[in-house]
Order: sequence, then C-alpha cells, then structure tokens
Amino acid sequence: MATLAGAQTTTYAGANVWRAVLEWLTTVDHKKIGIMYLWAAGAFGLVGMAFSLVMRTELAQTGTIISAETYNSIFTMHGSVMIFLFLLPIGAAFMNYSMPLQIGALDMAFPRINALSFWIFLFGGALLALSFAVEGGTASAGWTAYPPITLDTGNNAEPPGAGMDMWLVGVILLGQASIFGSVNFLVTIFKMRAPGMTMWRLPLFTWTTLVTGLLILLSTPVLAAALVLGFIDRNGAEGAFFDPAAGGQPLLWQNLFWFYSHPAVYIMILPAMGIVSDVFGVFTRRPIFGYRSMVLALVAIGLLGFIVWAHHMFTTGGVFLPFFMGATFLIAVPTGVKMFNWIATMWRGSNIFPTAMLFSVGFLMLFLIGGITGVFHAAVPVDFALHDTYFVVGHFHYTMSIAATFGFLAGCYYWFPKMFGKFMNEGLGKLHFWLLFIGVNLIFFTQLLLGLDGMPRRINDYVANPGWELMNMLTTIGAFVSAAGMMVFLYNVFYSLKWGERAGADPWEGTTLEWATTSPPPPHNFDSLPEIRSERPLFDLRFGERLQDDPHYHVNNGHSDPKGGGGSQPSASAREEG
Amino acid sequence: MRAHQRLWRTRFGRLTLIMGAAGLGLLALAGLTGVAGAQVALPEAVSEQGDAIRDLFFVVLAIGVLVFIIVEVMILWVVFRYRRKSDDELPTQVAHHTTAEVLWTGIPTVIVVVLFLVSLFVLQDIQAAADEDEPVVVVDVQGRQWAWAFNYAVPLGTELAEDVSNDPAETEIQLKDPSLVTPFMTLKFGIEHMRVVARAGDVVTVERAVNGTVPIGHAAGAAVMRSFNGTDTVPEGRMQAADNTPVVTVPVGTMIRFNIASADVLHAFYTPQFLTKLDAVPGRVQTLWVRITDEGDFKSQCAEFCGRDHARMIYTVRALDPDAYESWFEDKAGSAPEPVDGDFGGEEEVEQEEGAVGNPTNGQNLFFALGCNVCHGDFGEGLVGPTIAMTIVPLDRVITQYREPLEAMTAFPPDQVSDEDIADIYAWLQTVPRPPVAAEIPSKLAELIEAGG
Repeated sequence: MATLAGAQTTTYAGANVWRAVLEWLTTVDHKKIGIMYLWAAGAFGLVGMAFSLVMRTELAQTGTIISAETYNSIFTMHGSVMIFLFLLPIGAAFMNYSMPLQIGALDMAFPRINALSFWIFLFGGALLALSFAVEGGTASAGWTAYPPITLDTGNNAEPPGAGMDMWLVGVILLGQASIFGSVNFLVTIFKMRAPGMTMWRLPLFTWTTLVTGLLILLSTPVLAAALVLGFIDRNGAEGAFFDPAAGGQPLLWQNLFWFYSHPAVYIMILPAMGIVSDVFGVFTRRPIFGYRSMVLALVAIGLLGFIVWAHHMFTTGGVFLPFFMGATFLIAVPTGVKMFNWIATMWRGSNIFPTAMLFSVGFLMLFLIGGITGVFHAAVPVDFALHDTYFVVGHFHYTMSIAATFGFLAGCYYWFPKMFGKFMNEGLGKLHFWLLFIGVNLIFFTQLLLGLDGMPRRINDYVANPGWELMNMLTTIGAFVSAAGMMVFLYNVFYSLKWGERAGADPWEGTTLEWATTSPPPPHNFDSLPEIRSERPLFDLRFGERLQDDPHYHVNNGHSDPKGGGGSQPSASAREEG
Repeated sequence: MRAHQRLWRTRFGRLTLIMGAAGLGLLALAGLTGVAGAQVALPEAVSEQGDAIRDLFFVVLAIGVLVFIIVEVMILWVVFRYRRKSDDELPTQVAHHTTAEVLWTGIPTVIVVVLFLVSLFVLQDIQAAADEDEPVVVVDVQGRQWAWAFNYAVPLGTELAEDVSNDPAETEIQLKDPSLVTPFMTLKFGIEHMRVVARAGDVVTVERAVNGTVPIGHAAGAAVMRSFNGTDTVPEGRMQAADNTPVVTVPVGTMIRFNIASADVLHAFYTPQFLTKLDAVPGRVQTLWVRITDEGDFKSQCAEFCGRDHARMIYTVRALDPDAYESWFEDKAGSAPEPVDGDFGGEEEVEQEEGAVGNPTNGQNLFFALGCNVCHGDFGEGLVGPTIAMTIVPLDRVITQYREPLEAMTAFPPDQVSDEDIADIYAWLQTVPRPPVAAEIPSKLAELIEAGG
C-alpha cells in the first residue's frame, strides 16, 4: 500500500466549480458515492418527514383539511420514500463510505457498478417524485400496494393512473440499484480485505454489511418479480397474476412482496446495529462483548428473516399460522443476544457520551420497545386484535424507522469527522438528540396505546370514535418536536461543514481501520496500514503495550489459541478465509 | 452533602436512584396516558374468542413489561454507573462470560417457546368451528367499496334438480320447484349467491357471483336457500358524508359464522370488541367464528386499506338477546319478496310503465354497474340510501340529483352517466315491484339453524 503514497492528489482543491461538479458526477470513488448517497437519502428523508407532518396535521383534529385522496397519496409516498429512498439508501451510504475503509481496501470491487448503482437509485427516486405531476397523482395504495386496488379489474371503483406505473417502475429501479450494490459489497468484503484482515477480524459494521448484502441479493429479485408481474397486470395481461376476477391471486402479491419486505426490515436495521456496535466499541474502550456470538446472532437474524414473511399476513386467512408464529417468536432470541451483548460491552466500560454514543444508547432503548411490541404481533391471536391498527404503526416505527434512524444518526455524528475533516457541533448534537428522543416517544408510544384501543391505520378522519382526539393531538405535537430536532440537525450539518472544529485522522481514538488514514481520506484511502491482529487494530496499536499482562486481552481474536500468539502473520490468512 | 448525592456514592444507592427514576418516569407516562384517556390494554371483549385473546394479551404484556423494565434499568445502570474518570483509564477487556451468555440465550428461548405453545392453544381455541350438532347463525358478509352488506338465508323449500357447473357463464339452473322463485330474488347455494333474472318453464336464469362469492359446483339435491339482505342502518356513528352506517344483527350466545367475502378489493372485517379481524379477499370466502357474550351495539370499521373512502367503511354489530333476534329475523325474512305463481319472462317481458321513456334492461344493468345497489339495495328498496323503487320524484329532479347530489350521494358527471342512461335507470326503477308488506310467515329459524353451518 505504501507504494501508492505518491499518487495522492488534492482533488478537493479545484477552483473551477464546473470541474468539481463534473468530478462528482463522474466519480467512481466509493467515498464520494457514499457521500452522494448520504445527501440524496437525507434529502428524501426530509421530504418523507414533511409528508408525515402533513398527515399529523390532518389527524390532529376531527374533520378534514385535505381530501381523502390527498391523504392516501401522502401516506403512500411517506412509506415509499422513507423505506425505498431514505432507510435503504442511507444504509448503502454508510456501507459505501465506511466498509472499504474498515477492511483496508482501495475502493469497492467494482467502482463503476457502484456509480451505476447510485445513479439508478437517483433515477428511480426521481421517477417516484415525478409521479406527483402526472394525471391522477401518485400511487395511493399504500407502500405495500396490495392488489387488486392497484389494478383496473373492472370492479375497482377508482383504478389508479400512471402514478401507479411510475411507482412500480421506480421501485424496480431502486431494487436494481440495491442488487448492484449488494454484489459489490459482498465481493469487496470477500476479495478486497487487507492482509491480516480475516473474516473473524472484520469490524461488526462490516459484518452487518455482509449479511445485509446477502439479504438484498437473495430477496430483492423476488420483489422485482412481483413488481414486474404487477406492471404486466396493469399493462397488458389484464389480471392474469393478481386479479381474482381473471383467475389471479391477490395473496400471491402479498407473499412475494413480504418475501422481500420482511428481510428488507433487517436490511434497514442491520447496518444501524453495525454502526452502534462500532460506536460502543470506541467510546467504552472495551472489546465488543461476545464478538462471535454477535456475528452468529446477525446471521441467525438474517436466516430467520427469510422464513417469517407471512407474519405480515396473519389475518388474510391464507397462511399456515403455527409455522410463521414459531419462526417469528424465535427471532427474539438472537435479537436478545445482541441487546445483552451491547449492554455487557458498556458494563464496566470506560464510557464517554458524545452525541454518537447518545444516539447509540437511544437506539438500544427504543429498539427494545420495538422488539417487545414485536412479540405481541408474533402471538397470532393477539395479532388478530392488533393487526392494521396503530399498534403496528407504533411497533414498526420503533424498530425500523426510529431505532434504525437513531443508528444512522449515530453514524452521522461518528463518521462526519472522517468524511469532512470536521467535528459536528456537540451542543447542537445533544439538543438534537433530546428533542428527537422526546418527540419520537411522544409520537409512537401514544400510537401504541391508540392501537390497543383499536384505532385502525390509513384512515384520514376518525369522527366515528371520539376519545382519541387528545392522544392524536399528543402524537402530532411529538411529530413537530421531532421535526424541530431534525431542523437542529440540518443546521448543525451546515454549521459544522463551515465552522466545525477541525478533526484529525483519529479524533475519537477509533479502533477500526478507517481511523488509520487522514480525514478526509485520500482517493486511494491508505498510505500505509497498521498490522491487523484483531478486530481492533488501532486499539491494539494504542493500548496493546499497556494491556500485555491483561489475561482477557486477545490480539488475535478469533484464533484457536486464546493466549494470543498466532495472530501476527497477517498476509497468510487474509485470502484463505474468504 | 445532600441525600441523593450521598446515596449516589454506593452501588446499591445508585441502583435505587436509577430504579426510582425509571419508576417515576413510568408513573409520569401512566399519568399522562390516564389524563389523555388512553387505553393501556385491549378493550373488554364481548365474545368468548375475544376473552381468550385478551387473556393471552395479558400474558404477553406481563412478560413484555417485565423484560422492558429489567433491560431498560440495565441500560440506564451501565450508562450512569460506568463513566470514564480519567483520560488514560483502561477498563477490563473481558469479552466473554459463558454463564451469562448461556443465560441470556437460554432464558429468552424458554420464554418464547412457552409463549409459542400458549399462543398455539389459544389459536386453536378461537378458530374452532361450532360443534356439529350445535345451532349456528350464518351471516354472509360482503365488503365493497365503500360499504358493507350482510346477507342471511332461509330455506326456499326446493332443491337443485341437476348439478350446477363451476363456469360463471353457465347461468341456467333447474330447480325441483321453480315456481317458488320470484324476479330479482337472490338464491344461495352453499356459499354462492345468484340473482334470478328470468324464468321460462322449469329453467331459471340467474346472474352468478353477485355477492363477490366465487362460483363453485353444486350437486343435484342440494338445498336452495333464499338469501335476503339483512343490513339495517343506524344514524349514529356517522362519518362526514355517510348518513347512515350499516348494521349487522346477530344473537348473543349462539355460535355465529361470518362468511367474509369481497366484491372488489381487499377489505377487513374488524370489530374492535371481538379483538379479532379477518380480511375480505376477493375470490375467497373466509370464515370467522364468534360467540358473542354481551348485548349491545359495537362500532366497527374496515381495517384493510381499500381506496378513497376507506375511512367511511364503518358498520355496527348489533347483538340482541335470542328472542329479540328471532323476531327481528322473522320480520326481515318476511319482508323479502314472496313466491309468485306462473311464468315471468325476464327483461323483455317486464311490463313498462305508461309514459316511461328509456330502456329498463339497460337501466338495470347500469344500476348495478354504477354500484347504485350498494346504497339503495338490489331492488332499490333502500339501505344506506333511501328507497327509490317506483320513485315518484320527477325524472328531471332525479337527473339533478345525479349531477349535484343532496345528502351523501356520490356525484355522477355527464361523461359517466348520460341523461339517457339516467332515464333508463329511472325506467327500470319504475318496473321494480315494491317489497310486499311483511307477511306473517311461520318461523323459519329452526330450519335455518338446521341448514346452516
């Protein structure tokens, strides 16, 4: 690697704005692509949040402000934007930026495919955005788009217009971008690791990238198939697949859709789990407790994620309930293992709490609520009561939206100095954390309670049942408090880009390889690499001497000899374990 | 030194403070939800199945709250207890503890296995059908955009003379005693509904799958039921545009079999106080068994998103004591069309009112194609909307009602329904016989119960 040191250039210094723009438009550098993903996904996330504010404003009082059609369009686009254009690509942003750095690679295995993947994503997102402009407006069948309401079956009172086709095609494109990305992640992790970086020495964020990549690769084609069938149904075959009047099966869509969309929940949450694992490792000065059990739990969650899809369909009457109930319950076990491992990592740690760490602790506290409320849904009879109520809405927001977002925000605060060479403002960061923490609990805990009382989802006005007004008002207040928090964050980003305190190569006393290079890193990532003898090469470098006599300190984490002799022949093992 | 600072200095004291703070937080939350009138548990069930679900819910809730408190306290404990005291502090590098790891893998496993088994028992319990010799009330529930229809059936007193095929295009059926059928009567074979459109000799012509049910073959000799729409309406529970919401009337104490179907897109039959729901999937007929324990009106709502007016798909379950239910049933069953003697020839032979312009055959088709029957009933007899059969409102006023509706009716612009179309519908409505006055008929309930299930 050291031979590449001379190739370092100052690409950011270009005075010519157009050259800089052209450079970003044509870049194949994983760091720039990651940052572009970050900006794009962040912008879409703000749009999605704006939609949620529209919905909460409508629901804050009885009576209507916007029409039912508009409300249906808005909640559909809120879900679609948040999932396909925010949570999935923001995971891809961090995986793009950090994973190659963490394994000491030059770049991704296929840099051009990486760029292609980003531009396809952006094009798909643009297609969804443009659907606001077509006649009939956007898709408005919910982000799950259950047929036959998406089809012109002859019975459907108001078949959707071109917006629905744009939604289908847009999501196909987004899925294609995901598939390209996942192949890239997998090949990069398997083939591009630095000497000494064995599989059992991968940082946990890289492990989550690997498992996420596998999930994407195995599940997204199924979604693509469903979307293509849906497109054909709408544009030619006249209901051969999902229209019951023409011999199709509406439940087939639900099976195909959830075969992707359940693993997709893990595609969103696993990278966040990886981020908080890394953050805990740094700010506690402790090794991640039970590193291998963490990896195994990760793989177990991934595998179980493929056999629980029909727990979204318990009330359809078309599902073999005991199997999916059992499999769903089982997911609680590896999830619990991860939770306890994280807590044990902080146990007797030398803990400090910068904003990244606060968000990671917040992740634990909120993800716990998401996990426990999931058990209510796993118990099928209880799910019969709670399905399609706000209890579900509260549950999945606690897990994949709020917990995942907290994880990604932790990632923003954690890697911002690496990306831009400057710290984010800590004071604003803490204000952001507390506003968001209070806001989201106000939103989603009240939603859990409303759901228990039987308030159904996707309804624009609840005149029928008085008694929910105050709770709905609390939820709306929570939404605006959260939005205020996100405005603080937005301000913090621009403030810190301009006036942030300068950060060196390793401002957090990091443990993983991305901190072994300059901030921001040069285009080729590393001038030189430290010796890799554990999953914490920089920690070994910094504290290894002092911990010589600690019997619990293993520099060769993962090898058979627990006393730590054999970890110092890095180049031999790197390729073997791939 | 203040008391809380003193307390903070010992490990036990810190734990006490953290637990105390967490407890206070929970109390504050409980107080807040109390003030807001929130429900912290599932509502009281009004059915046997609902009671079982509610019991299971409390089991899950107890475990969930316990796990929540333990883990959140652990998180708060490590956050407040273990802080970096100096910059060069190095904590223990312990990263494994076999006992702890076995415990926190094993205990959750045991918990979920127990929960799985308990849930499975409850599931079997609540999905159990009625016993074979048990009386059953059967209600055919049909969801459509954006209303509900609840159909009941009584034995017609005749049987199929020959098998009926699966083909929806096959519309001629033979009954052993076809003289019992009347025009526009809805017949029910098994779960399939058919509307009588004509009769010539012994051959009865029907329109199939009129209630969103799928055509299935029926064997000769099977009992033929006369199906009637038992949907009442109530003015309360109104949404912004609907004047009335449909009511399904059922008895307490008897096993009720809801056959749930959809005429168009997905809906879900959801009565919160039953603590259960079942999707209405087009092309399928699904069964929900409920034994209601409490009398009363229970507000209910479609729970599966079904398009623009999903929010308006409200209905009420009215549970009556068995005697009141029986008299309601006889009243309803009696008001359905009575059998008439002799042949009637279907569309072309329907007598046209003097002076009526337009084509009643086309009008009838339009009436169903536009979904007028959803609100006004299949005979225009009135459901959610008013009775319009043989209306005395002049045609030009009716056209105005289509264009700029008073009350809750959907507007129909001229490009959707022309004036000529409306005249056709008007003509057809003039030919529809008004439902006969409720005649005294012997209780058919016993026969129904025998045939149901």
